[in-house]
Amino acid sequence: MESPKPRFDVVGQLGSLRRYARSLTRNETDAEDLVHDTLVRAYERRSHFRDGGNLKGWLLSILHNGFIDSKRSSQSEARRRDALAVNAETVLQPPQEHSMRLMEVRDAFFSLPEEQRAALHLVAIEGLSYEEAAATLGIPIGTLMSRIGRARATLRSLEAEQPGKAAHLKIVGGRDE
Amino acid sequence: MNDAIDPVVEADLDAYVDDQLDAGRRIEIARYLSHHPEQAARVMSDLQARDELRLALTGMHSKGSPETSDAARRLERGLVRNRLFGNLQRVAAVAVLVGFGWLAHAGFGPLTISQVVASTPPPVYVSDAVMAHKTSLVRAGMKSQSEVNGYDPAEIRAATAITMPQLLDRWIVNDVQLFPSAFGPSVEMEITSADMGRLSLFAVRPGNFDVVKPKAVRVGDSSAAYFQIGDVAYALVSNASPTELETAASQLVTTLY
Repeated sequence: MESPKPRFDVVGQLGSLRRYARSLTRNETDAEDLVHDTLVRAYERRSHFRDGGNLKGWLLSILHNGFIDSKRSSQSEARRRDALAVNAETVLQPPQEHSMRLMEVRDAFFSLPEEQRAALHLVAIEGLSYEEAAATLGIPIGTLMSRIGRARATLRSLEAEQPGKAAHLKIVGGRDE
Repeated sequence: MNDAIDPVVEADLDAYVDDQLDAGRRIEIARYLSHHPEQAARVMSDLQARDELRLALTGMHSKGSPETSDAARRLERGLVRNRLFGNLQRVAAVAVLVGFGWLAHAGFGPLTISQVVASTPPPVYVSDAVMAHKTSLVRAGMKSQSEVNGYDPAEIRAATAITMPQLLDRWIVNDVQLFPSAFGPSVEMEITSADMGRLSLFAVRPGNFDVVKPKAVRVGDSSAAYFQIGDVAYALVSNASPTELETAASQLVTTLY
């Protein structure tokens, strides 16, 4: 009515859904399957979507639940996924520019526990508010914030392990006066 | 050195990095950071990690499959249809409530002064059925609105406890829709007939028990014949003449006993 875009712009959410699915599955093929399954599930549950509700949050939460369900239903497949993630570089290719650095960042992110990855992704990558992200994951805001905090701490410690970086941080730390 | 960081401040710093703070609080944090270079460095490094992560994850070229795009478009259509269905539900809910009021009025009619007013005013309940009928004509014209083929009165009875009348010869059911309402599910049927064109048969639960013989009225450019048997009220709507509809409604009634 008020917007020239389709009333329910699902196609416009595909980018967000694919990104989140990749962060969860760490695999391009599984991610695409997960997005597809999400859309099918959403279609089946379309009567539950309230007009005027948050379409993106609704779809992301269906995707998240779908991922949890499929993981639960096949633990062996989850192990296979973990094995795949080790050589994820062959599956997922970031852009050439800064690619070494970005690959490190991405690998560090993929090495996080799944629940921390999900929380950090929704807030840092998709830009959801803490409230929206907590609702999407079905957890309290406090839990969400502590997962994000732990994820950041892990990423920082991985960063600090790298030679050269640690020394750099010390200088900025103001201890060398 | 991390011991010095107050836990609350740490959460604030994360919220700062995640862009979750209002302008006032953000300025306070920035002022705090300007006096705490160690934590400022941490925040800057978190911001860097966040931006790099965004770049690393969003920059990946994705070759989405056509099946996914199809599924997305199907969902879009489904949600639009859902919204339309929601509007119809509202129409039906109004019809049921108003119908209840009208039937209650009709029931109490003999006790009230309105009995003196000789002509029965056209019931609002029927005009709502007419409205639903018009909406269904719009719906019939839309390609994306798939119609349900196959009319199974036994299944409707099993699902809604509403007995649908046996249809007349050469009446073809185009679509059957169920609506939730205050007193249980209601049914709307789209019918094509040879002599009366497109018809809607509306069966609702008005929430009371009564027997009303078929009666036809003219509502705008449509006609409606209505009757009630027990706790289900029926309305037959089309553009045919009221007399024709009343005849058809009388034939429907006989199949319900």
